[in-house]
Amino acid sequence: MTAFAAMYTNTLRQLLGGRRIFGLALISLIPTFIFFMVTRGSTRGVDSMVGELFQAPYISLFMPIIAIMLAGAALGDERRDQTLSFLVLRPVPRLVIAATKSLAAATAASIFALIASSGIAVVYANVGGDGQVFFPILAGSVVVMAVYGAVFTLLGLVITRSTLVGLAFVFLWESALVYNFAGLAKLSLWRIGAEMTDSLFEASLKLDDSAFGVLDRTMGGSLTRMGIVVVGSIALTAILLRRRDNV
Amino acid sequence: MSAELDPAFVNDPTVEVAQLSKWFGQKVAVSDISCSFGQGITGLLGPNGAGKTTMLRMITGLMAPSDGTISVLGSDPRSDNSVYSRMALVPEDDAVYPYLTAREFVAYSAKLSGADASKVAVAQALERTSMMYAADRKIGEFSKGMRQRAKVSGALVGNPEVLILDEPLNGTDPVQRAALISLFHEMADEGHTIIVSSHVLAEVERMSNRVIAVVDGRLAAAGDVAAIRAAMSHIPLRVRIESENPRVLCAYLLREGVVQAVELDDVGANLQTIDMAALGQSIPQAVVATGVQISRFEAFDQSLESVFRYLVRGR
Repeated sequence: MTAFAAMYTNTLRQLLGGRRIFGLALISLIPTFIFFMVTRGSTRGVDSMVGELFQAPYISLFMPIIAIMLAGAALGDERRDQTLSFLVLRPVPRLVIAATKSLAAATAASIFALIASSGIAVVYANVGGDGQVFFPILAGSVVVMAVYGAVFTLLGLVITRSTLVGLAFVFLWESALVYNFAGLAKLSLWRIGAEMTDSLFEASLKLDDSAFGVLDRTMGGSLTRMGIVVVGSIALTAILLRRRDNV
Repeated sequence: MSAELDPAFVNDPTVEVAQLSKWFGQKVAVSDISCSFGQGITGLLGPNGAGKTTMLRMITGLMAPSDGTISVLGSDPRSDNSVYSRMALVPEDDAVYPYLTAREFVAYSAKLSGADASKVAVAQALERTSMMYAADRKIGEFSKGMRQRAKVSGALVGNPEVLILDEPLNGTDPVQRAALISLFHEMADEGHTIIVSSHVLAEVERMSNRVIAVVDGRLAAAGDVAAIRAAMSHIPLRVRIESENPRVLCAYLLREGVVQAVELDDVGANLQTIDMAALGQSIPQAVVATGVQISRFEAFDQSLESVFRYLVRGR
């Protein structure tokens, strides 16, 4: 427990230190700014606008970018700075190292999700929205941070440019391909979070069907897929850390 | 029984290496090395690129051997993580967190190792490397030598039975070097197994009486430093002399028996000697006796690498 707490705290310091935090805070505030601008003087219903903004670009672009940057650094920075040997030459199970790193990455990313969802909720309330958007958006965002956090903690360990790979994944796979082939929606990470948000939204806020493909948009489905992705990624990370040859 | 007589092995070993090899594609980094390490300091000596770091990475479990076996305190580090509570590595590369203070770094190391991370234990580890004065400064602001000492403190806080140090004196000034060497001696006296790699024979000589010498991934020599020195004393050293009349000068030196071979050319001669000190003493006498002036005197082949290459060929 001591090793877990020490590693978790140190990883948060590592991820949230330096100039990175300002860049990520800025990225997390962009959706709020966009929402504020599009609602000014608009005659459209604010519920449909918040739904559109949430779907694109909030949950399909900004949240993944934040998660990818932080999760890629969780083990990637240790590898780059040659501190990975400091971590793995310890009497700590590899599964604990992998889980701690993924959890710390998801926690750090969720801080920015909290900023982003709070900003949208404030604008929504100011323009007369009468539904509850804060908790559903935050819940979906945290799910996104958890899944991208686990997957890109793994990728940060095995590839040098995990952020670039992540951006290619988001733009090429999750946006271009999945939108055109509905059956691929199950292999999209941000849609797991969108499912969660949609399941918690009130009827007036429900998201457009087109993005979800074959997904059933239930909380259970979202949690199940999140569990599979997170557990699978952590297990793979632990196996790679056990081999240690890339340390 | 024969293994006990081989200077590459010790009685009551804590670290055992058997027929260890590592290759990366066509390149052989370590080739069929068998040796053992016990309490006290053992120097792992060899020129840069000899395979020392690869060997240490295999011993610590950071790298899988292509062939052979490793045992540290009776366990294989690659399959038994628990051994890491009893061993520590101070790597050659920086391997520090620049945003942590030295005190935080040592405490983090203790917590990861499951060791005592109390303020007192951390302070003691820093005190042993004389780093208390910089305990609350960020490691990112440290000089190379200070970072080395912070890393050593991080390893010491767990009080490991086996301490492996990869070029620990790199970047340290003479005072820091003397203090670290003294610390390693203290730890050796306390019964720790310390393996120190270095490419500098004089440095290893100050730390340890026992040396494992590696060249081109092969075991070049093993045993105490005196034996290595003795082996080196039989190596012919090459010397270049240039003068107006090298033939006369070389004839004198051959008669004196201080050179074993001479190869003349237009402007000088290449000599071979096994006693550089005697040759050095004879040169002024030769100049006086023959009246021949020397315009150039240069000794070759005295690098550790060339000496060890010679030893490898001789095995």
